[in-house]
Amino acid sequence: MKNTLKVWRAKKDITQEHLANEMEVTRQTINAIERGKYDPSIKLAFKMARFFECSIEDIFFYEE
Amino acid sequence: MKSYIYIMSSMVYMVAEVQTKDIGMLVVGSLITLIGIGIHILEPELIINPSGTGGAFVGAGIALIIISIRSIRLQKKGTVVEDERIFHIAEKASHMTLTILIILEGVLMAFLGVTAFDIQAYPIVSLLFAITMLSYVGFYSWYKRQM
Repeated sequence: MKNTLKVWRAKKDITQEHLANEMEVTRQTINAIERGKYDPSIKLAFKMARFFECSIEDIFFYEE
Repeated sequence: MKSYIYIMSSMVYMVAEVQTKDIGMLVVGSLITLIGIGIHILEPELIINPSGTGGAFVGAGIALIIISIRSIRLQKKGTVVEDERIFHIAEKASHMTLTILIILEGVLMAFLGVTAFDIQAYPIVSLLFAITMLSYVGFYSWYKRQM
């Protein structure tokens, strides 16, 4: 699964640490998601979408 | 009286902030350390190797205390200690460790059953314990780098 989390984070001008604190996860988790190494749970994806005021599909997309 | 109430309320506040798991780990760690010290000092006849057993208890207890104090301190700073990724990594590491242990124990049981080779239990259990620890730590750091 690919994502545009880094772009959304840049738009809001926030650090990985700040986003991690907002999402109640570690900074390493945000870093792993951005690098595409870890796919977040539905709950975390919803939290992110709510935080960036967009839909999940705007951040995450599945490519065959 | 006022200072007593203040101390008590601040302690309640501190405990309320910290997760029950960490308090439990701290209590268990302290108990295990005390048991280890007790075994080392009293040297009960029931235990064959009191210094070894006592040392193992003290080591495990101190490790638990250090882990729980670190966790409590990080929580106080507002740092997230555990999240879904950490649990996922731990799950995978546990699964791989269990698989390896089942295979090893199966092979060991078959070997002992076939050959009727008489070996002492303590070194084998110690070896299995060491393999468990090394395997878990190894797989944990491997998956942490992968995810």
